[in-house]
Amino acid sequence: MIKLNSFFKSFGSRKILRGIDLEINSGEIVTLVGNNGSGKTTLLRSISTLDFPDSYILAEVDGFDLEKYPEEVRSRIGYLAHNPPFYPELTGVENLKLWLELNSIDDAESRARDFLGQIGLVSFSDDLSGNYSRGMIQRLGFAMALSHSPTTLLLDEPFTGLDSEGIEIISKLLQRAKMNDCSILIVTHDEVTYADRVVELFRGEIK
Amino acid sequence: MNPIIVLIKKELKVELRSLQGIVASSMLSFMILMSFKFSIVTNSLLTSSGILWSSILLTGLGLITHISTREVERGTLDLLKLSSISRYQLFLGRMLGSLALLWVLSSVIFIIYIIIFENQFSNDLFLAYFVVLVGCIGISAVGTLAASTATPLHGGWMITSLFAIPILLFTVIEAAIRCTDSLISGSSDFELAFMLLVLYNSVFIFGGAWLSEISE
Repeated sequence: MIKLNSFFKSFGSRKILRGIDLEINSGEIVTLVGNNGSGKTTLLRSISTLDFPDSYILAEVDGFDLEKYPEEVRSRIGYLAHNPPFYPELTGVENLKLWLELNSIDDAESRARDFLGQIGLVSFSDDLSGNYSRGMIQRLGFAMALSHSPTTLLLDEPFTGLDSEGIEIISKLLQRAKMNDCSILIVTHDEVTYADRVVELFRGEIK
Repeated sequence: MNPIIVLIKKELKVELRSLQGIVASSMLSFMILMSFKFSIVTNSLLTSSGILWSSILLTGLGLITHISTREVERGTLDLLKLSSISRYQLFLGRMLGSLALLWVLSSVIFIIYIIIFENQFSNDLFLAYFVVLVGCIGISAVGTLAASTATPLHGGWMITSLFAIPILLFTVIEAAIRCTDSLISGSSDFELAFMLLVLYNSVFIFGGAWLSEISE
């Protein structure tokens, strides 16, 4: 569950987020839309603790304050960046295993292979991720976001570069995550038919 | 598995598969040592270990900056920051990963130095090598902390050295030079200088971990 109240973020003198009020319940999928530069990615990065807000009255993930308990918050969040970062010298399974080990997940290798199977990358598991196509990187990023069983998913343009099969796989996994009470915030320009509601961000404010 | 060990293994695997940083730094250190060899004629400079430490300091910081810049440019630093490990663990993992590579580099530099400038440590060769490995700990700690601060900035690759060299020069490097010089001259300063070196290393490791933790 995500709760934000009067959430502000700026870079230098430029105000990016201007008093965001947002609540996403468990098992809810919310689509966040808005023009370029409206602050969508900044909002996701701030919730994931990659950036810290200037001020807020309330900013919690599952009841954990973003600034007071950043490690607790991070352990509950699955974040898919617009360009998912990976080590090109490592294989797909090594990248995912690294992520799982950093999150203290037991039996990381078999879990990584299992997730790569679920997102349709099993036959490329042992290929270097530097040789992956854009769509394969996106799938790997999605596996990373889901693999440590987060309660909150923050997805920045998750369908970029995916073929129709990839979109279908990810849509099914998202709906399964929703059934498992995961709170999901998706930044996208595409229509997500299974989303519960759409929120529009305009110049750092929710309309 | 302990996340610090995970980070060390990752750093070694990434670098040993690409060899970008190690090979470039080794070549640079060879050129620096050769430059000293042909440009310095004063006997006292050639019979002290300042040249060895200059080479380790400059190329070592270059290697650490390369590792850190690569993480930032690829966005993989965000990936590490997104995991649920604490910031001090992230610092120690990155620092020890860089240290492992720095030990490889300093071993190469030490061998080249011995070949070019002849073995001035005579029977204390292995003790001198041990001092080099211990000295690298402080360089790695300060370098990692400076790189974390500087690499997100424009020209961060240069700023890292500008931050780190003044801190290291009058602490770790001075103590390390006193150690290795005492091995060359046979003076009794070694114990005191080595204790200082260990003290500086400890301060920088704990200071770096603490600063990383409170920076969040």
